[in-house]
This record gives sequence, structure tokens and C-alpha cells, in this order.
Amino acid sequence: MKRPARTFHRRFWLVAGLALPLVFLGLMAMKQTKPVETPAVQLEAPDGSSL
Amino acid sequence: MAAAYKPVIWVRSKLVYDLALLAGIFLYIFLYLQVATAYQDITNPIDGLILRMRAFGSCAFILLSMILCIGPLARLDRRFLPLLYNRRHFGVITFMVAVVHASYVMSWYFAFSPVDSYVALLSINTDYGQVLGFPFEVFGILALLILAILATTSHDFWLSFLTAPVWKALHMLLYVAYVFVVLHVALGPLQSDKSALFIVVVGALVLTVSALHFWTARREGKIEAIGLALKRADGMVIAGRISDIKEERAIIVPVPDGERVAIFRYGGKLSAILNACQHQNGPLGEGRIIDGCVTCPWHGYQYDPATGRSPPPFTEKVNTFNLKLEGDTILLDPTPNPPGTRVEPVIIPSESAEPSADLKEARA
Repeated sequence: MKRPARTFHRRFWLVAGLALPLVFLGLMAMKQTKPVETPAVQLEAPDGSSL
Repeated sequence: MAAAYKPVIWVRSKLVYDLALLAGIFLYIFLYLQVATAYQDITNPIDGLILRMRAFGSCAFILLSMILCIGPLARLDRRFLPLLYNRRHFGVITFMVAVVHASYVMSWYFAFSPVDSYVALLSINTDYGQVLGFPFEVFGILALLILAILATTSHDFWLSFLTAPVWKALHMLLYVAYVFVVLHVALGPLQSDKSALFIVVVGALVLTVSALHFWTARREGKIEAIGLALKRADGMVIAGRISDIKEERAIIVPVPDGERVAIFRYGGKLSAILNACQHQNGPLGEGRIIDGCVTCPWHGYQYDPATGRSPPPFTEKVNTFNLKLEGDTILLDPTPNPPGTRVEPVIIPSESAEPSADLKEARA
């Protein structure tokens, strides 16, 4: 008699043992990056301004 | 093992185990609260409730990862066996830590909701079609429900009521719960966390659990393949040589139907019984003979090697198997005898002969 728990464990972890770390890494790769804190266009005061 | 009913059989080792576990949890929570407070952004301080919610949540994740490592580690090295002895208490305590985490979530995020807090929990975000911003709470809820079922049925009453194979199959749900918890963490707190430290810690735990279980699953597959290869034309299975078995120890032999048999050597005799303990299906062949009885390495259940019966007043019994010797080679009849059937032990001749031609061929 095959033990269902043992069969389940083997089948589950042969898939999940590879898939779980890959899914985790995939989700971390898709993680939203921090917004850039510097403006896209550097604003400078016009020449000769008193600022 | 007890003949009379006792709700929990407290022994010194269980108390030490539980106290060490609780001390570790309190220390972790204390350190987390201290360190997280010291490193938080002072312009955007984190509320104490959120800190405690994160402390208990991360603690539950670490505990769950540790529980899942115990089984494969005990197979890898016998020194981990004491951790396995009281693993059910470990599981129940983990569930309690997860409940505390969930109660902080409910009391912080949904305390002032105009609708019922549980309705709000399930309806506040229903964007299931997106990866980022996915309602990760649902994975936490599912994992908590599974942990609740496992904690409730962890007592020996349920083990006896459901029988070991059914109970064991039910408790395989822990693996599903772990997958849900990993998704809960990866889609939730780790998406908004700015520090790489937590990603590294969670990633290392996920990788360790996955690698250990993947290794065990591959090993199990190989053992089953060996079981098919060792069957002879006359139906007997070549189990090994007498010299392969140390005194008062066993070898575990896979048989073609997927079952395993433990062949014990003791006092110049050989006996074979089913490898699965009646209590939790622990591997009897990884135990040894103590006081003339096969003793399960997990919880100390004992069986007479010749009859497969526990000594009175206990009533557990396992299948026995017939053996015979061909020179130094042990041959096993893979057809099990009914549980508790006495089989006369095979007497080991004083001098071992040469291995049989079949064994030489099988080994080649």
C-alpha cells in the first residue's frame, strides 16, 4: 500500500521546491522601485538673477 | 506513550522544549521592537500597533519555516530528532503567534471601519487581476484558517480518531499554508518595504525550506525505484546482507508496492516489521531495540520485533514480514502478515557465508 501522505509530499515538493523560490524572486523583481527624488529637469536660476 | 487517557503527557523534556520556544519568541519580539524603533525614520514614525503587528507576523513566518525544516533535518542528521519530538507544540504556538498578528491587523486597519471589520477586510481591495497591489490579505486569511485546522486537530485524540494515515494526509496542508504565507509576505509587506534586509532574510528561509524538501522528495523517489529493482522472479525481495545491519539496529527495505519494511538484528536473530509506527507513521527502522523492543525514534512507541505488538497494556500493532537467509543474503517476502502476527525470528548462523549471486547481481 502506498502511503498517500508520502506520495503527496514527494509530488508537492518536486514542484514547489523549484517553483516557490522562483515565484518569490519573480515577485521581488517586479517590486516597485523607489520614486526618483531629483526632478527630471534640473531647474536653474536665470543668469544674473539676484537669487 | 500512555495506556490511560491523559490530555497532555507532560514530561521534563516537553516542558524544557516549550519553555525554550516561548523564551525564544519573547526575545525575538523584544529585540524586534527595540531595533525597529531605533532604526525608524524619525520624520515618519511607525505606530506601536503596526510595529507589534510586524513583529508577530515576522515571528510566525520564521517559526513556520523552522517547523518545515525539522523533518528533513532529522532525516539528514539524527541530532535534530529531539526537535521533532515535540513538533506539534511548536505548531500550536506558531498558530497562536499568527493569531496575535491577525488581531493587531484587525484592531489597527479596520477598527474604525463603517462596515463590519471582517467585511471590510475582504472588500477593501478586490483587484485580484493585478500582481502589484494584489489583495495579499486573502493569502494570510487562508493560511490562518489552515493553521487553525491543524492546531485544532493536533491532539492525540484526533490522531487516534482519524487514524495515522488520514491525520498525516490532513497535516500535509501545512505545505499549502506555507505557500500562502510566502505569497502573503511577498505580495504584501515586502512590496512596500524599502530595506533589502527583509527580502534577503525571507528569501533565505524560502530557499532553505524548498531545498531541504526538494532533496527529501528526490531521495524518496530513488528509494521507491530501488524497491522495484530488488524484486526477484520468485517474488522475494533481496533485502541486503546480514553484515549490513548493526546489532540492535535495522535496515529499511523498500518493497515494490511502495511500502517499507524495517529488518532488525538483535541477539543473533532477524525480524521484519512494517516501517511505519502506528502512532504518527514515524520511521521505525530509524529507531533501535531498547529493552528487547523496537523503539520509534519520534515518540518512543515500542513493538516486539517478532510479533509487531506493543508490550501490554498497550494495544498498538504493526504488520510483520517473513524472512529467510540464503548464505549471507537476507530475503524478504513483501506480502505483509496481518498486524500483530507472530513470525519466528530467523536465527543468524555463527559464520556468515558469501553473498548470494542475486545480491551480487543486484549490487552490480
